[in-house]
Amino acid sequence: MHYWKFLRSGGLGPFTGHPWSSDGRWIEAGASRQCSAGIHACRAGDLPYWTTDELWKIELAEPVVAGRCKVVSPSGRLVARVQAWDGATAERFKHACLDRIAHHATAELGDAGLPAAALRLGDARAHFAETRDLEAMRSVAERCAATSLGKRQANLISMLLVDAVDSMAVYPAAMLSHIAAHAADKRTRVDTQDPYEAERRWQAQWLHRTLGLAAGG
Amino acid sequence: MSPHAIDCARASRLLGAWHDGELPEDDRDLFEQHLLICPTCLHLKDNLQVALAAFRRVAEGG
Repeated sequence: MHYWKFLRSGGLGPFTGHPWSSDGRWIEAGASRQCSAGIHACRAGDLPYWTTDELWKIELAEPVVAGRCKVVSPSGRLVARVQAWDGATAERFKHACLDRIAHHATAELGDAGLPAAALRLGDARAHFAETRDLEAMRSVAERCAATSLGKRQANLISMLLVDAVDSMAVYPAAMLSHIAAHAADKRTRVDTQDPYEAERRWQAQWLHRTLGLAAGG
Repeated sequence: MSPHAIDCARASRLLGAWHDGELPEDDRDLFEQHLLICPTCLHLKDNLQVALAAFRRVAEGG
């Protein structure tokens, strides 16, 4: 079983600020009050919940206890940094999440009986894929939100798309993946019991594939 | 808010318990995931940690 851990720049724990050593030394739980319960790390499916600056492959001591979106171990050591997770890849992930939000908005507009708006947003998605023109995407998303005022979910997801566009420049990848999961969760017609978790799985697969984690990362 | 997220007001209410390691696991996950998407709350949490560490040093030195 492979595990990973996100750290802030400089190899710092994302919340405690604990400095992680990259020389293979084992770190015991309890270095701070906040991590007294154990060292927290990710399975592949947990990655989208915890994205931040650096991604490391980590070795964990047994017993490794599985939680809903993380695992906990009494100690761990960094094995190697996943170099493929860098600023450029984080930016690509943000774009992929934005496209997913546009996808959910397009589908919801269609389901709400607003085919012209759905078509317009579908065209904007294609345009965005080619040009990365955020302003054009925002403009179309705002028009879709205005068009769908009487259709609660379509309006909400269109507004989430506007929020997502506005978040692109200043917020981290975690924000875009968070909005995408919420957009999925707001769809009225879904073929899964938990669309939020399904979207998180889509994100995990994107990260797994893009970062080459199947090969050991 | 959905059960998948908390807002800044709730995050600020949870900050003290998080710092003391007293949050139940689900609340802790929501709090920490909020920090990853909210630079303002992350900054607040960082400042609190710095301030408390300084107080502790003063107390131990005194």
